[in-house]
Amino acid sequence: MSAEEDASGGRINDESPTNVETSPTSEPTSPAVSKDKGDKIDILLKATGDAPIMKKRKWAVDKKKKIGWVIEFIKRYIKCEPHESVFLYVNQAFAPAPDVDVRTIYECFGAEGKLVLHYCRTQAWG
Amino acid sequence: MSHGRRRPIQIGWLLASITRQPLIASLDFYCLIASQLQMAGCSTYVLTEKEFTANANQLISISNSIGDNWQLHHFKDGDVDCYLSKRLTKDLKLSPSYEGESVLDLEEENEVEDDVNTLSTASVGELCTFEYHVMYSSSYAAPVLYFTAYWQDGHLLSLEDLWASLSKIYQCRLRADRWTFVTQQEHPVLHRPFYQLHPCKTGLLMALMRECKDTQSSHGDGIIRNMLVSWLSTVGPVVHLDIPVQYGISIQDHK
Repeated sequence: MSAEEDASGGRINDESPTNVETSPTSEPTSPAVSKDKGDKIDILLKATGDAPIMKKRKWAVDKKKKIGWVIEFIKRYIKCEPHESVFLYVNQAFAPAPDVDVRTIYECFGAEGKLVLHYCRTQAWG
Repeated sequence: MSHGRRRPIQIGWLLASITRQPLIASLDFYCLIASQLQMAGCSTYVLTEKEFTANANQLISISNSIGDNWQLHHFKDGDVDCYLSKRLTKDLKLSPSYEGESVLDLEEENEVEDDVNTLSTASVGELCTFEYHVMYSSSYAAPVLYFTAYWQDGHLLSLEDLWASLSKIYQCRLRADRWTFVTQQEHPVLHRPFYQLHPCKTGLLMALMRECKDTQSSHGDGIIRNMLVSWLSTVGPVVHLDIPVQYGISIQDHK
């Protein structure tokens, strides 16, 4: 079991997070397993407003990655137009600054081994 | 008089006369009309004066408890009598590749980067003091972020420098549309020129935030919100104003 985890940990791709769930309806991994992943955190991404829904909602992301990196990843995944921005919310009411790392946000707002992030796509900046 | 029957024409004339106002005023007018039309078409969030004041007071109490330096100022004008301010000094790095990007083609851009003088001024970080003011706009029924910034020698941060100082993740959006970002405006209370984060779509943005809820959870609507903090944490980082995570935690605990 631990060997398997090490193997998946070794395959961390800097370009994109590791997909841990292929179908949105399947069961999420158990909290214990997620916590033991060491340097990764399970992030659950939920669309808000007219933002496209991501086929794979659950991602294991390196703890040291910044929120800005997650935003960039979503923008690429949902194919944002250049004039559009993506904002992320925790607790459905607070947008963490892009230079805060995922670990900090998980420690403040995460629960049961995962962190729920809502994303919205907008043209607004003000 | 036969004029009574021709009322539509009179209204048309009235509109035309309004739009013949000076450029800035009419731009603002169009912007307001556009946002009102959007309000009619899409959902928008109307922040009332009362909610703004309550949210501002909550923000101040959190700020005081974590030592974040936000201050509440009172003034007498209209229904809202307060605004928030914060001053902070940042080490600002201007992105060197920004220079001339929109004007020059690739070859010329390389020449710019080779230029030692350009690089030395652009890539080194300098201390810049930002002053942020959050005010309520009755016209937009939304909070508006005003800010000004000056370097250590006292000269003001130019719009070009502000563009160049934006974090990498906002550069793409800026390149696509830089003119709907900030406008230089007179500060409504201090009457000094300030940059204003464009409030056109603040209502829409706040409506989006409101939609942001967990549909699966039964207590979906029991979310404790502070729209001012939600909005400020969204748009603040664009102009170097980071809102610490403690605000998000405190609001949740405030029930």
